[in-house]
Amino acid sequence: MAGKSGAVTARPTALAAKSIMRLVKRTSGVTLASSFTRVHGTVQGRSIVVRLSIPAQLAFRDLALQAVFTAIEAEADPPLSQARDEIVSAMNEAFNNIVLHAYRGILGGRVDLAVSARRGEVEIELCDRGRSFDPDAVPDYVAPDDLDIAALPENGMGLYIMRSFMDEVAYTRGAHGKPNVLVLRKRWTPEGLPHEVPPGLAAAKKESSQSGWRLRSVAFSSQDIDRSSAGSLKRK
Amino acid sequence: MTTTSRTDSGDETILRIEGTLDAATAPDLRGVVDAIVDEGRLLITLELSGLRLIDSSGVGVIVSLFKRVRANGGQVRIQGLRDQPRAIFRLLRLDRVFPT
Repeated sequence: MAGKSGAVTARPTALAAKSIMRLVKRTSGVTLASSFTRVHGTVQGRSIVVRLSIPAQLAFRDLALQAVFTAIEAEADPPLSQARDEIVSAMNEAFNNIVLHAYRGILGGRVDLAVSARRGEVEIELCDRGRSFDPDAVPDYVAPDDLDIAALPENGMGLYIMRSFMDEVAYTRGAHGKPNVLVLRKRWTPEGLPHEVPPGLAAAKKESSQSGWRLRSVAFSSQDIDRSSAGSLKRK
Repeated sequence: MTTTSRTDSGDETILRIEGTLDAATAPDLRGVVDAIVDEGRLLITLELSGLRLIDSSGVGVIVSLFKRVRANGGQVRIQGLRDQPRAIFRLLRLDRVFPT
């Protein structure tokens, strides 16, 4: 019986890993190992600075932003203005997506926010129990050509903004009582300190910049992968 | 919160947008855009020096104005873009499209 249970849990784990890696490859073309591991609701090696459960309403978006920057300023060197603008922009799009898409037509939805920060780095986790989405199904934003005015997109820019402005973006679709989980991670160079860039990361950044994309990668622990279910990984 | 003020001067319309233009406030701006287009205004200047924050919903309304005015043979110019809104426009490469 024990062996059977093990076999049952192994399949969603493998599927989850496959799905996550597909997202990583699609967004960056680069996959990196990382010492960064998460377990549900906690971040190993550092403390959660802020956890907040807020109504999924646009009126509460500023509160979410305030939580993020309060955490950053309490535990980390505040980012320079450019990184600040990028974090604000990505957070806005992430929160908008949950309110406008995940919870569209659903009353009483909530966003569970967890922010952890250390010097020059912040991780923002947003959990919701609304509709999940398939990142692979979202059309890529195509920057407009100077002459092709009619092709200018009027929507569908949110995921592009998140991916472009954050160093890592990972999304795990929820199912069977598990929430959808979006993780945004941003690093910046603390003023006056050299940016600690692992050799592999530096190479990946160079490669990704050549293709016009910033690096986006993530590595999950097996504990994280176990959070996903097979049902959450089916394509639409 | 977004504050918009429209000034018509001859053929030119100056639309000043201040504050936050996002998913919550963009729908209000759509009415202003509709009026400008319906009245056939062709020389539009968006004065954005007081715009503190914009998201993709806000960008969508501005792009809509731009496309509709251009389709009518007009032009939309942007003034005063800075800080976070400027970063968004640069990322989306809209700074290449909008005369500034």
